[in-house]
Amino acid sequence: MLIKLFLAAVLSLSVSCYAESGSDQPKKLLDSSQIKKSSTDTGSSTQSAPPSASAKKAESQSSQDTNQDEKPSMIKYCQEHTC
Amino acid sequence: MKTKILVNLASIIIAGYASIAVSAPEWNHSEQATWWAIEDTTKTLPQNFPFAECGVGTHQSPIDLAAATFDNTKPLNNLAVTYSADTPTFFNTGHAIQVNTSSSFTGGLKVGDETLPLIQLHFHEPSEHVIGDKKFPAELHFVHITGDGRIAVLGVAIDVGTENTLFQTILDNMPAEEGGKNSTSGIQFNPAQLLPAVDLENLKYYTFAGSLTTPPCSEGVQWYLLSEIITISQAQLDKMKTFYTNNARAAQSLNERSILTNQ
Repeated sequence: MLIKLFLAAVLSLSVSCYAESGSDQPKKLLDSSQIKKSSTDTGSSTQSAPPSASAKKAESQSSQDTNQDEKPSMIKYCQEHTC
Repeated sequence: MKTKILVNLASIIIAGYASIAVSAPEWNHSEQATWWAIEDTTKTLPQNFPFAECGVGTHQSPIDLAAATFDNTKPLNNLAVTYSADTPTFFNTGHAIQVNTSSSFTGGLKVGDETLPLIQLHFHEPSEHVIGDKKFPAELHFVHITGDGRIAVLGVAIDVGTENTLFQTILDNMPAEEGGKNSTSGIQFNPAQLLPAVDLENLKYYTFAGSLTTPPCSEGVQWYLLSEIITISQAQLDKMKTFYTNNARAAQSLNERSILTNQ
């Protein structure tokens, strides 16, 4: 009887130690099963070419133009309001 | 003559945007479906509907991650945080509990070679970003804004689990009354201690173009959702809900947006 109790205690201790070691890792936002991959990366291990420098510059410029009028006061706005 | 009309029109538009920044009509989360239609009766055109973008925008936040497609084939910027200790202001904004960094704070979000300064952080309950039917109990947003007005938000999902010491500091120092500010706590506060135990020099993330999740719902916001989540205790969540509950915007249409990730 004592042996059975001893074995049960050892087993529960080892299970809790195992669970503890797993909890050191931060939990993930998404499981791999929840991620829908885009069609561009299926069946291909090569990386697609990065956008050209001129395209990136144009995109960045366009984004800045859109924001130019409105944003300088956003720092103040976002400190006075939840934004 | 035409030039004069155009100049006048531009002045009206710029003045309108400036007026949004300093004051805005009242709004609340329970009527979010009609934020776009809230009128500012104190203003003349074109600012009668200062939150119109909440309704007509096509890159709105938050989003449903289960509906999105993910692309991990594109080269992405390294993402890091450079937050350091600060003596911040604890601010009950009337819509969320918020922590504003001080004017001397130099930490920020480093995207590639550029660092965007951290302006404030705040909490939503439950989470704003969802995964199908699943919502997390809460969500933390670190808001970064550059001098020229570009915005990047680092979002972190919050689950119930181990207590978060720094979050308790926020709860303990948050004024109870709406609009209340506590800037005299003198507490040394490092926002990095709210983040999960990961390599802060090389964060794993999901990124997409989006908007502010509250009026005026301005677009052009770059979102970075951390792939790891953090925890607070049930008691902390309950305490947070005594300040605000259901202060989350519903998921918005993706409109063909895909999510890039370095995962």
